[in-house]
Amino acid sequence: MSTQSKIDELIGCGNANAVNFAKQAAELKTLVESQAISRAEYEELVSDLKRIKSIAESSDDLAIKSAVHEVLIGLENTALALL
Amino acid sequence: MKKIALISLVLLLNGCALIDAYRMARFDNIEYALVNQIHTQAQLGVVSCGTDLVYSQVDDIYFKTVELRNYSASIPRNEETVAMTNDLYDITKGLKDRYASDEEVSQKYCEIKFNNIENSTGTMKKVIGAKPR
Repeated sequence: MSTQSKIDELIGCGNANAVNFAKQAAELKTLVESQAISRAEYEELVSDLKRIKSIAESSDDLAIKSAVHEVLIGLENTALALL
Repeated sequence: MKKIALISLVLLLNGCALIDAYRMARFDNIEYALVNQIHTQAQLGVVSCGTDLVYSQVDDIYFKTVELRNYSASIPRNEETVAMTNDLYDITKGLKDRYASDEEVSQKYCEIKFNNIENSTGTMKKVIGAKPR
């Protein structure tokens, strides 16, 4: 399967993050093919896509941890109120 | 409904995960301010792409990113934020290195890099700003 068909498949998958990722990848491919960016710039920007994905994953982890923390504090306060 | 889902999630987590969440790093003014500064600088700095002003913008963003990374790394139980600042550092280091090299930097590359920094710090701001007080 070619890179372009993989990008098309991702765009059609319906997952917002995957669609966004695929659209950015498609834009970079167009830019390097039209020589608007150099090959070295293209490679770095593709690496950035992975870093942005990694930031999104860490931010999801942090958001869940914060939510769990709030629940634990709520449970703790409820327990203290019952004592 | 959301509360019920969260409580269910809490009950499903193992002991270590619960302790991690209970003891996690709290909201920190300085950490948040640094992320916000980098975000704002990337948001406004993109117009400098293609001008001589871009060099000072890139240097400033890089300096603040290193400052953020150093600051966050010194806060205990701050793993997720440290991971995000490391990725952000890699993004800004690439930009700084390219402007420090002799190679020509394209307008589009510059704009995309500033947008990447703005979007990444935007994601970070939301969750760092929502850390427990």
